[in-house]
Amino acid sequence: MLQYKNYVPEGVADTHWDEYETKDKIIGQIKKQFKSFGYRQIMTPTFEYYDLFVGIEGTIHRDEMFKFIDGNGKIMVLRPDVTIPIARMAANSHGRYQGYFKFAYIANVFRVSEDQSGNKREFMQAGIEYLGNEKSDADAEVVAVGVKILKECGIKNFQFDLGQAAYFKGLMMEVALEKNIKDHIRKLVEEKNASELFHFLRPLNIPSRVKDTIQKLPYLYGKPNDVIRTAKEIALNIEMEKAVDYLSEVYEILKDYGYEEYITIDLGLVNHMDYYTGVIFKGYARNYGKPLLSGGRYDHLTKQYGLALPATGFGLNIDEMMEVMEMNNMLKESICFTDFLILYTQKTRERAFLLAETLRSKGFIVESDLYGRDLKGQIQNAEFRNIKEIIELAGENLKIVSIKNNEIKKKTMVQFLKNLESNGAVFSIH
Amino acid sequence: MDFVNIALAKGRLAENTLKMLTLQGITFPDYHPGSRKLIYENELQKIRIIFVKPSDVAIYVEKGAADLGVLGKDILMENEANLYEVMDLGFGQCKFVVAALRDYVDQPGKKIRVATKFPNVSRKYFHQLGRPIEVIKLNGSVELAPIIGLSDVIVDIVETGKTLQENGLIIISPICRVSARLVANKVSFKTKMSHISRIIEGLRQNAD
Repeated sequence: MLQYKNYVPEGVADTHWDEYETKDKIIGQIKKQFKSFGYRQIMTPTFEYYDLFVGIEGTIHRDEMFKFIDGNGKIMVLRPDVTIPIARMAANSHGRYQGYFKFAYIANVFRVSEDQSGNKREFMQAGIEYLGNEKSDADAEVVAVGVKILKECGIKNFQFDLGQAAYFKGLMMEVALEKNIKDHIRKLVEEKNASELFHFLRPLNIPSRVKDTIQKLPYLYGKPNDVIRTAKEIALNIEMEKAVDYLSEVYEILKDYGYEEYITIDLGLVNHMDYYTGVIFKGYARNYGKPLLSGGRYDHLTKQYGLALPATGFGLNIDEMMEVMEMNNMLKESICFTDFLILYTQKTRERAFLLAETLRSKGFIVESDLYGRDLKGQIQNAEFRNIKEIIELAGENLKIVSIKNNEIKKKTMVQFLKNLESNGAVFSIH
Repeated sequence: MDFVNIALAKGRLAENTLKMLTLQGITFPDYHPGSRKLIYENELQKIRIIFVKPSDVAIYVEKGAADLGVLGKDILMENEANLYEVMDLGFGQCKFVVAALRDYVDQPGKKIRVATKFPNVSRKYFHQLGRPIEVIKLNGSVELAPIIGLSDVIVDIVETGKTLQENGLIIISPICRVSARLVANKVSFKTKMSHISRIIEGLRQNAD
């Protein structure tokens, strides 16, 4: 039998140190934005009961969840999504509703994916959930946080597509059809499959004005003002009109955030209609085939855990965001390095540690090791580890080997420290 | 302006697509059907065509490696992909059918053994009828299966029905029509909207 001990499974991967450094910076940037808008970071368990996810009309299919059975025979699921646990948490831990909750998270999520599809089975997701605020201002704020993050991470050429689940739902109220037929209509609209939609609707017994509106849905995308105007014109009932007005409000608020240029509208976004209840959105980056970020309003979710809270939020895939940044050469190369390696003898060891601590307190990255005879080996190692300078502390004085400049200098301890002070600019900035 | 990549599968669908593109003035001068090159560019109009296996067109488009693609509805039905199916190009017409030997008698309630290149399409069709089936996935010469007793029926695409006839099979029920479809990556469709809609509009005019 083939031994797998040296292999990692498909869909998961090790993270290289330089890659981790980069990822860490992006995470830092994202966290900063979340925090600055008042979203408080929380964490939910890595695995939970299958029951938590199974009864819910969520965005993740049951077959996509990693399941296992614990010692008591209970079925567990590796966190396939963070929104549902947050909804549970919000509903459970705050029995009495007093205001709103703003949660942020950064967590690994796990999804079963088709073999050889190239999809990750474990990836890092960041997101926010705004619970307890039913106003369009909350929708707009959540979108605005998403825009701000993409901007701050240096992604250029991105856009946000807004949709409105309530518009499609309002339209479906006009047709008395079985669920599977409505689902098929939804699927064809989602695919912008106008020709099949036409053929599918033709024999159905529904009013022609309803058919006309359904057939227009796949084309209801583009510049916000145009789409909103048309959508209003072809609305068939008060629900649809209200839905458009709400969307229009969200757009107006986003204008005041100064984000008008990033916004487009697509009323043909009709995925996960059992889950979303209002404004939904996706963030796209140019030349990247998948949405970077997606979210929307889901007012009915927490009710299933015993407390009805209006809610909106989004999730973004950090690994994919890194791919986009890499593709556009936007990753400020974060290569791990060390400022100083101090080599000591038994005699100078104590002084060496003291020096190391002094340097560390000034913000430098300092390693130390016992001085061997083989300086050449140490230099090779330093090159490999990206160590900038080796300090030999053998006697009273310091011998400083600069790897980058390929030069050796002798200095007294006092000179060395004084030099550091005066060269404030060389201060480490990690 | 960014390039728009169009994934095509060598063969008739590609020939027809290229003909339609030529009608709207999009040409690839160094292309000829016998060439082994896989990528051709129209530098001026920023359009690139890439040749891939028919069954791979959908994945190229879904993942965004190509912005547009042309493939048969049969393949789209078999491998459901997350993309926009923006246009029925009208050519490549054929149909999905269930076929069996002339003397085949369907016994209600009995599990049907189905030989096919399209297990998902077969399963979906028979499940809708409420009939349990056993699928035998084959990669070609499906017509053989009922003759040598490997299966009761086959599910396949037919154009003229000649192959079926010559092998003594008859169509026992049609499933649906299929034809060539233009598909688009959901993100490119938005981020390269003006460029892509110009191409689609051109194709639409020539399809009529």
